Formats: sequence, C-alpha cells, structure tokens
Amino acid sequence: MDDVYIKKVCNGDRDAFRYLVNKYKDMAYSVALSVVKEEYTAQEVVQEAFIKAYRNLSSFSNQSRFSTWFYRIVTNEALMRLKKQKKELISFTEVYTDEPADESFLTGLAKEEQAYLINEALQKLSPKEALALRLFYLEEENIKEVCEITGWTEANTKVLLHRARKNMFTLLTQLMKTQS
Amino acid sequence: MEKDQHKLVSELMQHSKLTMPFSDFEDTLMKRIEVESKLQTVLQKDRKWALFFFVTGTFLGLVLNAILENIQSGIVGISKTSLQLGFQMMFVLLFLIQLEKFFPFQHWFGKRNKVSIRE
Repeated sequence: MDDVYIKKVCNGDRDAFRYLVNKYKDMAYSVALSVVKEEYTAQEVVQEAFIKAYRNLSSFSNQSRFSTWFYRIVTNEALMRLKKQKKELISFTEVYTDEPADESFLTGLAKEEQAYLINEALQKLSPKEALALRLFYLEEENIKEVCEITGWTEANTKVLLHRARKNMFTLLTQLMKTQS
Repeated sequence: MEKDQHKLVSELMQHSKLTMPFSDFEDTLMKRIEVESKLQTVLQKDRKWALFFFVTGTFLGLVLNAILENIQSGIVGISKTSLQLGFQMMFVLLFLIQLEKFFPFQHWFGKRNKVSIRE
C-alpha cells in the first residue's frame, strides 16, 4: 500500500504524503523519544525526519521496506540531535545496583499501570537500550531489521537486547519500590 | 528464564505504544512541506536562470575578448591596455564576490562579535 502513495508523492501529489505521516508518526515518535527523552525534541526530530524523507523520496528504492528506510532517518536524526545537545550517550555497560525481582509482579497490574511503568522505565534506560527495545518489540521482532535501521551488528543487537531486558526489569522494580 | 523474560517484555511493550501527543503535528508538517516544495520550485527556476546567464556571460566575454584583440588603438579615447585592465579587474572583483559566498571572509579574518538587532 505504501508503494502506491510513494509513487503518488513522487508524481507531485503532495497530499498523498499525509497517508505516510498518519501511518508512521506514532512509531517514529516512540523511536525518537526513546533516544532524546524529551517530548518537544522528539516531535522536532520526527518533523525533521519526515521532511528529509519527503525530500529524498525519489531516491528511495524498494529494496527495503519504507518503514525500515524511514526509521533509519528518524534514528539518525535523533542521535544527531542527542550529539548536538551534548548529552553523553550512556553506555550499555551501565550497572544497575538492584537485583531484578520476580517479574510476576507486573502481570498483576492493570494495563494502564503497566504502560505507565514501562514508559517510565524506557525513559530511564540508556538511549541505545531503549531504542533497541522499541524497534525490536514494537515492530516485527526482527533482529535483521533492527540492524538495518541502527547499523549495529547482529551480535551487538542481541547483547544490547539482553541487557536492555535485564535493566528494564531492574528499573521496573525500582519504580515499583518508589511508588509503594 | 530468558524466553519467559522475552515473552513478558514482548507483551508489556505492546501496551506501551505511544501516540504523538501534539494534535497539530500533521498540519504543521504539511505546511512546512508546502513551503519547502514552493521553495524548491523557485530554486529550480533560479538555477535555470543562473545557467542561462552563465552561458550568455561566457559567450559575450569571448566575443568581447575577440573584439579587443582586433582593436588597434582604443575605443572612445580609452587605450586597448586600459580596457583590458579594466575588464580583468572587473573579473577579479566578481570572482572574489562570488568566492566570498562559499568561503566567508569572516573565517579568514576571525569571527567578529555579532551586533544584536535589538538595542
């Protein structure tokens, strides 16, 4: 379906781009927020990424999916913004002191509470770890696609995901403790 | 253990999908794109004109050069060498003005303090 709209945009139908914006804005926002950690900056990143995609849409070859190509632009833009802000990328070797608790406590929570806690934990995770989790679990759990978007190696991505999962449970435990 | 963790994270992440919280995002973006594409059209037009003037200027320059070569004395009392010198100086001046757009003189002579518009 994307192809039809991409062709339309390339043929000068500017409004056809609205379909792509509608379809991808939420996921792009999630990806950007996991890196820059700030709502307004994330919005700016997504806007910039859409403009770049619009400008270069004619050079997009159908070798990869549009989503992969576009999320790569979003990721690059977000990482560039992070660099500009001179916020240091927290290395994924960061050590969390708390032992991860039994995860079963999460299943007892209401969905809204779960969503709140997970998003809080993602905000606190390092940009790389949060990005890995978002890309892997919110898309089709495809490591190759995550590698294509981020430029990481497969081994690196697997290690990153493993640590991200572990650190997320530790953070969730910490968040639960502070809330209770 | 690892598999269970993976399954649980997968389930939890599905509940944590975010939506763009800025309701005017789409309209603002489409407006920016509209401005962008209008600018692109103007730029393309300007590029065509730039190419036209470049070709015309080159051709006229060649013609002028040929005429000056064939002139024996001068035009309206100005000697041939003075005319050539004048044209050469004009060329250097134009060249330097265009060069400044690519390498601003500010970089060569150090940055000056910017004067604020608001006094």
